[in-house]
Amino acid sequence: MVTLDLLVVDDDSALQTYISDSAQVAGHQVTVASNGAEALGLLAERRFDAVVLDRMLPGLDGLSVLRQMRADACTTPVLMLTALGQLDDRIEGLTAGADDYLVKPFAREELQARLQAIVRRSLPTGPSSIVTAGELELDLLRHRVNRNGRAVPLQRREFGLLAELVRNCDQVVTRAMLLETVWGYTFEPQTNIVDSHISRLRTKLSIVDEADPIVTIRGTGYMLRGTL
Amino acid sequence: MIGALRLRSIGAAYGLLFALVATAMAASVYVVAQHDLAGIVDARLERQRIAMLGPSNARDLSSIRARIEEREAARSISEVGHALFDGEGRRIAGTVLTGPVPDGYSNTVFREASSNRSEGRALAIPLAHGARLVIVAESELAEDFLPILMRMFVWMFGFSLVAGVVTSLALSRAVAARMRGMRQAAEAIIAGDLSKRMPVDGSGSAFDEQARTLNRMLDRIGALMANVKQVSSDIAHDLRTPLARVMQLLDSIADVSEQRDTLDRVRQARLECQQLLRIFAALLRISEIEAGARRAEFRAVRLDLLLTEIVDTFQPAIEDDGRSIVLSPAPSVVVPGDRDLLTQLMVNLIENAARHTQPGARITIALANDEAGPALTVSDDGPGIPRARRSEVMRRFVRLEASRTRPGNGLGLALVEAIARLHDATVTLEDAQPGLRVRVGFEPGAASVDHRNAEAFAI
Repeated sequence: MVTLDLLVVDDDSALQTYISDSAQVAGHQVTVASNGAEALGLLAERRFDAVVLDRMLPGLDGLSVLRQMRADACTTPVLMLTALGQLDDRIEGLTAGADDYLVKPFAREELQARLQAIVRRSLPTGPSSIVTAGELELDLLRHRVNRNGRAVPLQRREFGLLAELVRNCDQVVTRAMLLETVWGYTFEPQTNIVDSHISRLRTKLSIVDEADPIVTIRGTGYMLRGTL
Repeated sequence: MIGALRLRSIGAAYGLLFALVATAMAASVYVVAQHDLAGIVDARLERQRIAMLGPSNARDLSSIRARIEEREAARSISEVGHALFDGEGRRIAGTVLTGPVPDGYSNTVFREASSNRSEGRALAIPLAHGARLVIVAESELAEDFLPILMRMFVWMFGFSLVAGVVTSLALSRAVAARMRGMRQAAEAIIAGDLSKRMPVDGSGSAFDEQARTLNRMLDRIGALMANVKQVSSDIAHDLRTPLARVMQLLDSIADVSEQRDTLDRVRQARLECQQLLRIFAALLRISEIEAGARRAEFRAVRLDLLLTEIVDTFQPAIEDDGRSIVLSPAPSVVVPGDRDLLTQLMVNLIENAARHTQPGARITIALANDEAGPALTVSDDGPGIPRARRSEVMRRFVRLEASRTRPGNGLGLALVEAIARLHDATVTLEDAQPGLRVRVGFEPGAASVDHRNAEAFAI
């Protein structure tokens, strides 16, 4: 788990405390701003790894702060928080330049996982379409997977799941994140579709005596181990 | 068809009624005219009687006979005829021949010795010792007038029959047209379009008045409905924040507690909170969809590809749960729609089917496109829903007894219906014999979107 330097922009003191507490538990460093102007000031002063930005703020609202940041060529990844959770708001937030969108209330594991993911995504990656994680090698263009040089045939969704886990190697990926990135679902079905696909993926990845590279994080999601 | 038939028979009935009334009027005119004309003739007979018998019928037979002979000799045209009979019934004076006539006034047919038979009135007066005097007068006026009256009546009957049929048909057609307009508006409202109003043509007729009143009632109902929806989504929205705080507090308890027992209870409490949040999310989703703003985002969606993806996605989980899911071969169908919402609709239906059936059940997804329009169906071979309860389960928070112990919040079908309505589609619950079939039928014209465009959006 990477420790991060975070800026939390929220006017709700209870939520401020909740986010800072859980971020500090995870070892992150947290700076708090209560309004948009203060946040823009801090962002101009120094660099943060990621920003947690509430959409509803007194005065300058979250969307305007985000647009101003992007206009100022600030590429710091932004996780936007909203109490609304409606489809159109989500689209609007992502269009304005948010890297991810989280509906209040949320579990802190969800916040953790999403922060790690947007920071990871913002890091420069090589031009190669081949990614590796431990014994696994994925060709993202050809949708091919090798484990220890042995080809593993996967169906489309299984490949998508594995690719998402590999991209976030050694970090927790929540079920909601997988539903959004692999299936494009903006709602949470009651059926455990993620779990069933993961179990098939596991069966296909591991033959006799091979260790399972996927770890279940109870109540939250999954993590792919880079080293077995 | 039946309506048109009924309409025609109403027209015929009114026409007949018209004609019958006209006939009754004519008949009464006829009777009155006949009576009055008879009265005129009778008055003449009475004058004749007094001339013959004196005011008290007191004259003797021979003087009556003398008077009759005097009269008959004097007159040239046979206006009035006489016949005098003695006690044995023998004619003793007068030339007129009649059939048997009762005492007093009566109608009769008579003949003078020289002339033809004609109709008239007779007055028979009994005299002393069995003798009888009969005076007869022609009812010429009545004879001429009544046939004219009869012909007039026949024409009146014909005209009023035709006029009655025509006017009542025209009237009932006009009424039917107004009724049809109202019925169509009412059907649309029943189908869920609360913005629909009764047609008003500004004529100020009774129908317009009626329509205006109904429209005011609909305005009121619409306002109340909007109010209820607003309140429920406000409640859902405002309860989320305190609920979020509760979850945060539960997290902080879990942070400091070492006891397994406490941790378990905290986890349980968290799950309950999540269930509440899910209900709020569903309520907000429904009101968002009902607001209709998503319609602006409609794109062409390939339903067959959408179904393939959903079935691929759900097959593992459904199979792990001991049930099976199959997609029947589906034709390529494109409708304008919101891909996310249509996905959610299908997911809800599949989850419902899985939730309300026993392990071993088979869920069949199918797509058809015929004259009735494109239709998605999700069928199961479970217990189904009795016909009488089917409309009930579409309402929010309604859960039938059989499923109260299963997970779910009673909002699944309400959400499905909201999404379907946004797409101008209708949701019907049918008997899959055995099991339940949920059918989402789109408008017949819905599938007329360019396929090449659709492919790009569908994947």
